Amino acid sequence: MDHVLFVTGNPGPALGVLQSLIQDGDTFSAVAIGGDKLDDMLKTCTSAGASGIYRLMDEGFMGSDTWALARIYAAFVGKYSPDAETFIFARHSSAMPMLAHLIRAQQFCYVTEIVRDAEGIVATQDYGDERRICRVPRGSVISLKDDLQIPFERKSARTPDVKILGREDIELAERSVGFCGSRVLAREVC
Amino acid sequence: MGGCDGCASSGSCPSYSSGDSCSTGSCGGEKKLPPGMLENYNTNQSTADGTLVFIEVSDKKGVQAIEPVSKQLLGKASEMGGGRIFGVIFGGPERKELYKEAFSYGVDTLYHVRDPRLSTFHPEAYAESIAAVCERIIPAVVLFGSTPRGAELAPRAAASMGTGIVTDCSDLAIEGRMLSMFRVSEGKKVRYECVTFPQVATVKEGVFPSPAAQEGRGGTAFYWQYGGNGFKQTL
Repeated sequence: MDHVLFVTGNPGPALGVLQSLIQDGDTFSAVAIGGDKLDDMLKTCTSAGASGIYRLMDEGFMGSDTWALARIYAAFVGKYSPDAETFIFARHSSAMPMLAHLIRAQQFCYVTEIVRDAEGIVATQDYGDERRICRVPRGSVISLKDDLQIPFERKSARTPDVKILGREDIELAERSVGFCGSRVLAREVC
Repeated sequence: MGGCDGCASSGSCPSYSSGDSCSTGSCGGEKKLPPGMLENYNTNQSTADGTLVFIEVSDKKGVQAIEPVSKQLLGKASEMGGGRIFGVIFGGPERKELYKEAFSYGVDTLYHVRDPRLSTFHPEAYAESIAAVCERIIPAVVLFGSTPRGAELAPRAAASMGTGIVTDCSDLAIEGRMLSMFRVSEGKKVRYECVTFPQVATVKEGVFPSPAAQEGRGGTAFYWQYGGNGFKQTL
């Protein structure tokens, strides 16, 4: 797979970005962590051209904080897509910069536009008080600006099954994620 | 009778026969402390102490200023009283003009990661530097403003230090070294704790009041050299 889309919210704008980025022969996969409520969003990704859709679900993932979530994403990347050109989050999440650190990649947050030129990929970031255009190295992690409105085209009517991967499928140790692997714990509701 | 039940059964404690209290630690009773040691210390607990605040600087039309949220975090850190307050600031020599202002809002020790290239935000380089500074000072708490840059930097810095993060806190409280981080989730106020050090939190601007500057307050500033290559190629 050449691109990986991590579905952390409405995947629509990210699908629009990917469709403009993908060249002939490129593929992308969509990945989400959670229960079967996410299947509809993942199937939307298939209709927009995703070659594979994965849902990461395991009892051992329960209670994961952002650190543990980032470890789950990183384990997926290491096992299934170590050579992807980009890893795109549909919106900013704290797990995204943590994943970028874990896979030793550069991170590009609040991205409003991604284009391809002769030398590779160029991203425009919007920090509110500053717009910045950067060259995106291979293997970078990108998150899109939250209020982005980019339409996508439905290309395929096929709806392949969602592949469900558990902790052992992505080779995570038993107590590395979930409650046991989390760094932050909710202690009480005040 | 000195010693303890363990001494009585084994006869190993020299204090037993003399009638003094047991002080050798050789017996299996309640007192196991070596001679001269009055209290049992927990050597497994962290020695982390103090609070590090990421001091975000805005550069608007060539005028640099400390972001209000950074001042508010410094005020809260002072109010909580969790030990020494450290600040970390990034940029070239022009940042020196902000030292006095940082000290006036409560910074005791300021680390200036001095590189003109870092006047622009590079999250990878910033996170690496913060992790390196934290390795030196071992703070118990690291605070970031929940601005677009702070929200991008804080999780990466936390991951660099192998610790967790609570974002957009609505309140903070410290007891000893342990930080309670409060966050409103689905209408309920939830208290979080980080099980690793340092404990990293982000707070939005306006959650805490802006403190009054203490004019003339001094502090110590250190230059910090960034030797990495975490710069983005901007076009």
